[in-house]
Amino acid sequence: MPADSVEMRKFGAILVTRARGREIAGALPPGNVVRVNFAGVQVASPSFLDELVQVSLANGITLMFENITAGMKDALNQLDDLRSGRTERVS
Amino acid sequence: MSILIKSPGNLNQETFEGAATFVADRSELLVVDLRSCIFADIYAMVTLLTITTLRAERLGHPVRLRLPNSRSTTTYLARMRFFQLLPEGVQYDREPPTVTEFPAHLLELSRLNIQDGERAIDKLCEFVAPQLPVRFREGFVVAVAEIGSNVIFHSQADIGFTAGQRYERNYRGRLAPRLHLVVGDAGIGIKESLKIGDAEVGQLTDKEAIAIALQPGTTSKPGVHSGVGLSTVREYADTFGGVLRIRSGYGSVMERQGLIVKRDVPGLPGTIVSVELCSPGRRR
Repeated sequence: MPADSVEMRKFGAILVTRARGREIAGALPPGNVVRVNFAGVQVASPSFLDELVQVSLANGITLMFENITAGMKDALNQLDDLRSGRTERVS
Repeated sequence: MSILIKSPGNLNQETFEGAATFVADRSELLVVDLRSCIFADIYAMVTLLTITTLRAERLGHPVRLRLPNSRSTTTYLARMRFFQLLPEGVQYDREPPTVTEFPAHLLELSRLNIQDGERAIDKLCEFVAPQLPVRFREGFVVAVAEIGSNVIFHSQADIGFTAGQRYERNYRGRLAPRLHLVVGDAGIGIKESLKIGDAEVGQLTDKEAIAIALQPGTTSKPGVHSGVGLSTVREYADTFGGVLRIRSGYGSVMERQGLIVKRDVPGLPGTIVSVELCSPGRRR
């Protein structure tokens, strides 16, 4: 079954807070894999992405990111490093 | 001991520290005298709100406010929601005006707190983003968001405020349009925050701790994108010929185009971060 796709632009062009990450993660369609398309999103901060990923994973959803900027990609790579233990999270 | 904050005509980030005097009469009264004020910038408003809220709300001390004689200045403060955000119990010498119009070049004052303060960060970033060239937008907005998040999640503050303003006039060699943002809180301050990660910081003065916090990678919370907020904002202030001013505890550091001024200032819990970018979009 193809993964659901969500246009993140509909939530705003500037996505920066953990609260927005939690809110959007909670609104994602149920399913194992959801494609999240960031076309039209100008800024997504590391805090926002962290919360989006963590809450989605806790809800059993794996995210596939599309059309992300270099800054978003960098933040997601750092999140991967944290989860794999290559970087330690203190707080 | 009572405190008198007596505003000059122009109460801004450069004149604010000279406006406060401490009167040795052993009362706990704070008097904010704005009668002579014809202009107050958002640095002054955020700092005044932080001080008055700290004293009236947290300490239960009396606060008296004398409104500006200038009607247009009083209206301007009302448009910034200054009076609306003052804590309960503040005594006014006359009733502040109510306004219904909020011009687009102003981002009115908002309170930061753990319950709904993140909305204030969203508003600040949404105000900033369209005013910057696209190639600078992502880095600066993320840095501003990180500074706001630090107030909510790491400063241990229950009192914090943000505001933004765009000025269309040059000022003291700084080219318009100028974008000014301020984030302030009454939390533990930069020195105490850095001490969490490095106990030796406790030996430093506040102004020395601020200088360390401006270095890339300095953080009390290692993790994703940590230690980028202040140092990134500093880079942007430099790139745009602007001004970065940080006040924390008993210290203040101001940077402007390579000039760094570190000062001792009257103690105030928490931190005020003020950044002004000049002529965004037409870099010199």
